[in-house]
Amino acid sequence: MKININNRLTETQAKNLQELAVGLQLPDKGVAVAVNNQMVPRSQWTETILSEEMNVTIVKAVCGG
Amino acid sequence: MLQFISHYTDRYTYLDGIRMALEGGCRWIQLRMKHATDDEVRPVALQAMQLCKAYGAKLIIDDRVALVKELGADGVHLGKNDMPVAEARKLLGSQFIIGGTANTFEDILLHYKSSADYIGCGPFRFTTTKEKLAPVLGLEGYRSLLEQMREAKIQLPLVAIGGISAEDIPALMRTGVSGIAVSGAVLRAQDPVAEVKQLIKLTQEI
Repeated sequence: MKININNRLTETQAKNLQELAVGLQLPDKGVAVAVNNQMVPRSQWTETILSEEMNVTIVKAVCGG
Repeated sequence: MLQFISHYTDRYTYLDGIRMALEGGCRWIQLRMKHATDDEVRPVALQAMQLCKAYGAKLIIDDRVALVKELGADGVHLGKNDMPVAEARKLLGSQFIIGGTANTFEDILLHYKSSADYIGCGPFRFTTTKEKLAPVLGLEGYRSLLEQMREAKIQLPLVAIGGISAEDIPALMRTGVSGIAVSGAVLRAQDPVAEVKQLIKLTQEI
């Protein structure tokens, strides 16, 4: 599936935000993630299911995107 | 994404503003107490951290790298006259959010190379909240900067700042910015909580 991460179409196998965070090797702290421009607290990452062309904003210097 | 930057007014304290922003649904707060000492900021920051935690919101403190580390806030925002981002990253490591102010593509590039996590970019237009100000960017300024970022493959969220009010948001979001930072628009509103709700809605309607 392709999602928009910080305005860039990115291929991912992740099903939810938690899997995406693991895949991107985001640190345990010091990260903010928004879906469709609304911040999602870490406690809700697992239940936030990704869908095609979803807009994800990651406030973190993302490597290798 | 909406970032609320705290400010005090005749009607509201820093914490009042933060409380109203959180109540309105904002989950990204910046505590900015430019002329205060660390000792003056500390108790306010601790209360702000508690409030933000209760709402599941992130708290960034303007300028004060050592205090952010000491208190374990979520991150720091660094203006152009504050500590360089690279130096802050060395002190804080990767477990803190670091944002940097940019007015030009050169600033953005430098922040990117210094491993900033987001860019606060402006001013969109003339603002009374800030005392020293770079030339205004306007919509065209953001379009051009975002285009240059795409070309340079810089994938950092860019938050527009500087005199932004509700009616500016749809056009600004369409330029491709990731977020909007506001202060005056909320604190000057008749009903700040309702204003925050409306601003958030506008950032999501693109």
